[in-house]
Amino acid sequence: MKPAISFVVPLYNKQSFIADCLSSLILQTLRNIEIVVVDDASTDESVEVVKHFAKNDKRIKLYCLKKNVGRSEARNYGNAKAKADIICVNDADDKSAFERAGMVRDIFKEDKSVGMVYSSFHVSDIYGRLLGKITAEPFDYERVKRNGATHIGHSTMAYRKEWVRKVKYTGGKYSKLGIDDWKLQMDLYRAGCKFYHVEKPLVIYRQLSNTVSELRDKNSVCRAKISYLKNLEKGVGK
Amino acid sequence: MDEKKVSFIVPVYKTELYLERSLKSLLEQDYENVEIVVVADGKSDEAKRIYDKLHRKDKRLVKYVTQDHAGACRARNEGFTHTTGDYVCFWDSDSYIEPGEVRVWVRCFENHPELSFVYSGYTILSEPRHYYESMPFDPYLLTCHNYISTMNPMKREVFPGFDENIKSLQDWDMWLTIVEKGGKGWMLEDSGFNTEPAKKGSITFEGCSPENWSERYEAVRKKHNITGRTVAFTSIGNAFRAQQLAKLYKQDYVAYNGRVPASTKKIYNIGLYADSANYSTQIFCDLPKEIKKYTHWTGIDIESIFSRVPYKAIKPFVAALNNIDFHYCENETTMSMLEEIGIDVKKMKVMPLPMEVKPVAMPKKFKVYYEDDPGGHQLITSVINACPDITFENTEGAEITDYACFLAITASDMPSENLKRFVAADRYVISTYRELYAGYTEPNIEKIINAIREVKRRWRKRDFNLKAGKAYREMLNLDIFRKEIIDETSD
Repeated sequence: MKPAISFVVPLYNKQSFIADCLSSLILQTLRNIEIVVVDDASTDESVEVVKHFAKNDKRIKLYCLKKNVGRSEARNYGNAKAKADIICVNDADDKSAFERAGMVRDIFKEDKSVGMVYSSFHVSDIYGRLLGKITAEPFDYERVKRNGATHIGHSTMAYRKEWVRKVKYTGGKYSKLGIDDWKLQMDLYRAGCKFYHVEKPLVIYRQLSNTVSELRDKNSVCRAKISYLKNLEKGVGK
Repeated sequence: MDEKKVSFIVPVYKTELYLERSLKSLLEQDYENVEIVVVADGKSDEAKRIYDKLHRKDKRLVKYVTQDHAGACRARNEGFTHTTGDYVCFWDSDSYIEPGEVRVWVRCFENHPELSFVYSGYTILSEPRHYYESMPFDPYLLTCHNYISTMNPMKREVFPGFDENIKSLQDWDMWLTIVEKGGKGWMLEDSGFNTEPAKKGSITFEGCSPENWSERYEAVRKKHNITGRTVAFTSIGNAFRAQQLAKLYKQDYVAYNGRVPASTKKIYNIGLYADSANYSTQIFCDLPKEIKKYTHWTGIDIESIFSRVPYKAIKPFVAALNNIDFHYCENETTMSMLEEIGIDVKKMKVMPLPMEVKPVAMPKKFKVYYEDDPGGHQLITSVINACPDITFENTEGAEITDYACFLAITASDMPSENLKRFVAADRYVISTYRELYAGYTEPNIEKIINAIREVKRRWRKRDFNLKAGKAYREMLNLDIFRKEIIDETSD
């Protein structure tokens, strides 16, 4: 039977958190899902943990890349492997609320025009203790122009597969700076995808101190975003 | 019918009040093959009446002997000659035995033929009741003080006879004699019998009275040639550690604030524990000035003590601390806090308990033994949840051979004995103790998981991170401690 939802989990050296992530996914109230784990040639024992889960739960599909290709490529690979029409993003250190899959499916079912759904999310420390909540707001292009942020948590996103066939995560500097998710959101917006937001927090985002998004060079990020926005205004480049 | 016979010898001296209760408790045991000899130490009509009453119903009361008042030892030796049992037990007439106890003794003797005697703790029927907990059999510690009551069974052939020249502590003398001949004992769990508290005029009371205790104590030690001990180890909260150190350095162990042998020139106390804060305002208060007093502050003792000593007691407490001649501590915090109140203190690690350092064969499967406390519980739970493919266990009394790795996350900073067992066996140790030999890792989930994964990947090769074992072996250098604490007395 074709799964209703595919969770795509790109994985790179997250041995400490992947177990938490997978436990939250296999316990989703919507049982008809699949979990696509793409191991981007991790050098630690993350794969061991995934195998342990996959042994007991056939819904988990593990794809191991031979060499490290970067997070955007891993995400594209996972999206390509996903069987369901709806793909939920879930990074390896984040957790999903148990009702997430069901809620997302219902939203897409009700409104055929919606292309992408995002939601509020909780922020937790590395032990999973909740620190606070970030509420989802309607996407506002003017605001993005003002301060550069889309205010969409990447792990909270869920999109129709046909959209990520057209628009893919961009590698290169976007991947290295950790703004490939930002780029995807902008690209989807540009391509005319309809966004929908859920007020309820459906994801617990784990705040780590040593991830790309914390360590990246803030100036380069700004420059990359500005040049993208400028090109967007001029209507050139992709 | 039960095969082996157990003989009880019950001397009576001014204890007629309890005699019936005592004899009945022995006769009502579910082990039936017992015989009882009652020895009246000085003529007693009342005792004879009670004996006759019980004897009419139960012929296992085999003999009633009367002697002129000559002391319990004489009475016991006399009683022994009238017995025929395979095991003998000298019973006090003011005590009564717990149900089923005799059967436990006999089973223990039958299953362990190497044992000469078995013993247990007992309950003193004072108000409130006090449970005297004995300690596991250790021939060396028996030379420090007696922890075995007279009222415990031994095999007939090992009984050496009570020394009638010794006024008291004759039971200690007897156990020492048995042990010197190679006899082995075994401690049974739980209270084996109940006994009245010592009352003025009774035999036991004379044995316990403080007046000439030292004299009698030294007499026994002299007889058994226990000499050359100048240091007494003690501890408020960790008696085990003090005992082991005493054994290691061939010195004395004394109970905290207990009596001290005459030969003692120094007393060394390990740890001022928080639970004891209410009475630690009187540390070593009864000891004469000539005895040099040492205290070793371990871990975070100081913080826990000062946070619990009530404000009113601070002054006397500090005065009591000044009474101690030498202070040692393990860390900077203690040092600065003590210096603040004007106490000189020297930094030195407490001697870890020595354990034979011997690598043990690695198990076939990778398993982690873990230890935690309320302070580390959350973290360790997160770690265990994050590693579903690894088996974590903490069953009590685990065998080291089953585990390749040891993990301890606690708020305490005193490595546990268990940890040392694993270090001594050259296991990979990950812990939050800031000790070189304890494999210190920051209490951070990622750091700890990384460490565990690293071990899991390479544990079979035994080629990395064996620093812990090495550091431990270096620490086991007995001489530093000996020089500091023990040798000084000689000059």
